[in-house]
Amino acid sequence: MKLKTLIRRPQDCSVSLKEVFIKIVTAGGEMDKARIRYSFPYTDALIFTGSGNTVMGVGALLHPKQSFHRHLFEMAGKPEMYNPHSIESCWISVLPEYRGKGVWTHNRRAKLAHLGNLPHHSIRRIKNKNVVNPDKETQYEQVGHSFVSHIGPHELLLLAANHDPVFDPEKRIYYC
Amino acid sequence: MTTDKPEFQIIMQRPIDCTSKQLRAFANIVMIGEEIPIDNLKRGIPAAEMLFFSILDRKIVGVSCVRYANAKFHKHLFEKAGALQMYNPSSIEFCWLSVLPEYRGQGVWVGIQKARADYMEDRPGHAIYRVDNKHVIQAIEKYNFSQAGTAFYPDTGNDKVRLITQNHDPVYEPTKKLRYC
Repeated sequence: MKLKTLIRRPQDCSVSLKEVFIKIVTAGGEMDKARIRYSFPYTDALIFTGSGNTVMGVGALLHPKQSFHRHLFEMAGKPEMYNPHSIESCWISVLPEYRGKGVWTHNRRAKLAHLGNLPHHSIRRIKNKNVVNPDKETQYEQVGHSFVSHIGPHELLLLAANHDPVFDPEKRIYYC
Repeated sequence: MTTDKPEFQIIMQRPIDCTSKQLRAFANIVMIGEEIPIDNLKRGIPAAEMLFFSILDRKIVGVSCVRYANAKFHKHLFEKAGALQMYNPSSIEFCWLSVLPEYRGQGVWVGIQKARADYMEDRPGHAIYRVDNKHVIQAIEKYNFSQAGTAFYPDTGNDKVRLITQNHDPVYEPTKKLRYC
C-alpha cells in the first residue's frame, strides 16, 4: 500500500474533503462534528493520509485560543515554557480498519517536515496507550506533570517540541 | 492651538482571540469601503492569520489583516500579472486595510502598516490594489513593496489592479521555509 500525505489549508479544501476529515476524527468518539466545523476556519492546516482516493487518517495544526494555550502550560506547572508562537498538533485520527499500517507514522512524518523547527505542542490523554509511550516518543518532550483540565474529565499530558525551557521573546518566525 | 496628532494604539490578535464585538467592528469598518462582498468577509475574517486594530479612546478606527488566500486564487494573481515564477505558496496576503473616514490622514494607516511590518519580519507578502487608488501608490516604495509583473483585470472583479510583493524572490525558491530563531 503506497501512502501519500497532503497538507492543505482549510480554505483550499473542498466541502467533501472537509466532511471526510470530520468523519474520520469523529469516528474516534472523542470529538463532536459541530466543534470541528466551528474550528475549521481557525485551523492552519489539515493533514490527510491515504492511498489512492481513500483517506485513512488525518491530523491538524492550529493556533489555539491564547487563554487556553497558556492555561495548558500553567496546569502542567511550566508557565515559563508557554510560547505564543507554538502551534498545536491535534485531531490525529486513523480509521480503525487502517490502524497498524503506517498511516499514523506517514502523517506524522509529513507534519514534522512541514513544521521544520517551528515550536509546537500537543495534548494527550494519559490513558491513550497508543499515543502515550515515553519509550517510543522521539518528537516531543513532556511538559511538567500530568493534569486534569477544565475541558474534560481526563488526565492529560502536555507535550512540546522546539520549545525553550524558558520562552525567549527575542525569537521570531523568519523566512529563510 | 495644538497640532499634536492623536496617539492611536495598535493591537493585533488572532481571530480566535477576538470578541464578537471586535469581529463585528472589523467587518463594519471594512464594509464602509463597499469593495468586499459581506459573505466573503464573514467567511474570511475567522480564517485570517492575524487581525490588526487601530484604537483611539477605546474606539476601533482602523483595521487590517494578514491571511493566506485560497491557493488557486493566489496563483491566479501571479499568472494574470505575468509573474508566475514569483508565486510563493508561503506568501501571505495583506488585505482589508480600512480606516474610518473621519480618522483618515491622521496616521492610522501608517501605524497599522508599521505593526504589520513588525509582525511579518522577513516573511514574503503580497497585496493587490486598484490602479486608480492613488493613496496606495505613494506608500508602495516607502514600505519596500515592488510591483510584480503588469497591471491586470482579475477574474473576480471589474477593476484593473496591480499585484505588489514584499520579500519575494524573483523566482520562487522552494527550499526556503518558515523557521523559528
